[in-house]
Amino acid sequence: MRKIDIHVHSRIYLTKEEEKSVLYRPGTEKLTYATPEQILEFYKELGVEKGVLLLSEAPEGMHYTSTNQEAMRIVRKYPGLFYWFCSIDPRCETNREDTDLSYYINHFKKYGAKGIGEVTVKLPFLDDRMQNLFRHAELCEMPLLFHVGTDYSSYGIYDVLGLKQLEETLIRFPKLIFIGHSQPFWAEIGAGIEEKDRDGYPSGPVKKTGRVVELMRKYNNLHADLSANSGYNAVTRDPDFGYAFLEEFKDRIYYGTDICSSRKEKSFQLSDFLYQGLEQNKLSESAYNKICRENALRILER
Amino acid sequence: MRLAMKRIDMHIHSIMHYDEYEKESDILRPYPNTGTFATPEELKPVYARLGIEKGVLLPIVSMEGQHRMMSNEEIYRIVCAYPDMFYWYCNVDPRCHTNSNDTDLGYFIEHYKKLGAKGIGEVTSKLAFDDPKMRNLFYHAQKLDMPLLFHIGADKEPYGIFDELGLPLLERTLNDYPDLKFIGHSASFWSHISKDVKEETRSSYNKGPVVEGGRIPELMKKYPNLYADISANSGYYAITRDPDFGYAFLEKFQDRLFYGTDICAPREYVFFNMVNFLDDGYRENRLSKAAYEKINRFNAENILK
Repeated sequence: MRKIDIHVHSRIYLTKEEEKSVLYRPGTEKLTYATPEQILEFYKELGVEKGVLLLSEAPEGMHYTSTNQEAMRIVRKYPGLFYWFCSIDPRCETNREDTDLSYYINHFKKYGAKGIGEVTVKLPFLDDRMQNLFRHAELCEMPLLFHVGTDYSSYGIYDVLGLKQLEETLIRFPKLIFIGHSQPFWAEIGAGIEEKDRDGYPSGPVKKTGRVVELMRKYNNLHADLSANSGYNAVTRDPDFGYAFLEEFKDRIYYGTDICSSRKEKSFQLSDFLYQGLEQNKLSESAYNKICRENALRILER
Repeated sequence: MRLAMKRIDMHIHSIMHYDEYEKESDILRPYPNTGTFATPEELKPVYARLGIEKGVLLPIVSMEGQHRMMSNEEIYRIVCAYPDMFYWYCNVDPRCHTNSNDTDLGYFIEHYKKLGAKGIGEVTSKLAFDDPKMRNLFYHAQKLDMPLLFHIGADKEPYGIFDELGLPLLERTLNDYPDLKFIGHSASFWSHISKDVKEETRSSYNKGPVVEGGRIPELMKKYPNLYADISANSGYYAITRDPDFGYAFLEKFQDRLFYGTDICAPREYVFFNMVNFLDDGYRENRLSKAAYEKINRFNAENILK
């Protein structure tokens, strides 16, 4: 069975000149978002059929301005490779708490967007403009994939340790599918973490379940993607716990990569972890199929 | 009838579509008859009509107040396709990359400078002039000798660098970055041409006689690093609301003013009349030849070298 990747980023170059003049992320390695061709190679290796192209137009933390227009261009050129979610920054147009964001969401929905995200705006969950985005996403029945940010993160919807603002938001918008992601989200799979651990990858056994487990038990509208090193670390740091977690929330968890460059990531091993779980009877076939493909298709092929 | 000299437009936005589908699927502003940004082909006849040879394309990379973004890459693509029609500025949001007060924004600016960007703008981020991240942008812009074109926003405006009534934060910034060319623009900038501006009128296109002693003339007199573009209805009304004052202002600051349009859609604008105001001023000897030529073209040519 070929997987669906709920979380991928990409860019394309329309001319040779553009490809030559690319701005890489600052640093020693020359990295920027992968092209569809590079992603296709990774997908062959990982057994992925299609990915959900995500973008954020919010400037925080970015080295490159992705746009909805570019995402549509990519999806149109590679329809067999991508679905897409659109980007809606709650500060757009009037930059107020009553902007009619449905106008934007419905427009992109009409052109095939299946959700909203990755939302990376550095505003708190309870900021009135952010709440306005959730209200309109719920009205338009569009799932919303988000990155949580802390005081120290360069981007991501801000929440305190313990994800209290996320909880309040889950209560206020019960019909909106929230797809959680990022280190500060997954760090809370286990209890006892401190502020300093939130942007990292806490390791070792999960002795006591954390807020993510608690919130997922309590709120059916909280979903999660396993992408990136954050998701990979969370479910593999304590394999028995990880498989049990996947089994328990098998209807609301999505396989994902968060490929952000042409570099291979440690998190690519998630594929093997899931498959080994299946082989060793630590993960049921039903959970495996749902997480790797069926859950994604349920929101993508509506 | 236009005069022989071709103008340079210091302030223009544009987008490009590759086929009908892209055009149809592009998002329009939600207000009636406002559409979206003009394509180069849509701008061509307007430029011919206004006597403009080339414009400075300004990307938009901060989402506040926008209906769509225009990335540096998209703008560079347009400039490559229409090299005789456009110069370009790059745009850098001070919250990019590490979103901190010490991000090496020079890395980004320098990259686009190498690709031919002649400045930075239109800076529309809704952060205050004295926000450390914004100051970091000014620091790097100055270091790399890149002029910075900015939009000022009041509390109730959706975008623009925030300043209080009277522009005290802009003044402090002009003091702190004396070698950075700041090119002012927007309603909240130009409303300060008159001393009687109030919080209620600072975001408007104010009309009627200018009251002497406004902050813009004061700041321009005091700080040689403050420049201004006379684009959009904001620039148009500021200069034309009191013609005698307007011509004297243009004459006085002739070395630091730029003609501009700020066309944001393929439609008619009141500010198209700016060319008549300038041409009439020259014909009627209310504006010197030197001032006329500098504002329409030479000042821009100097800064775009």
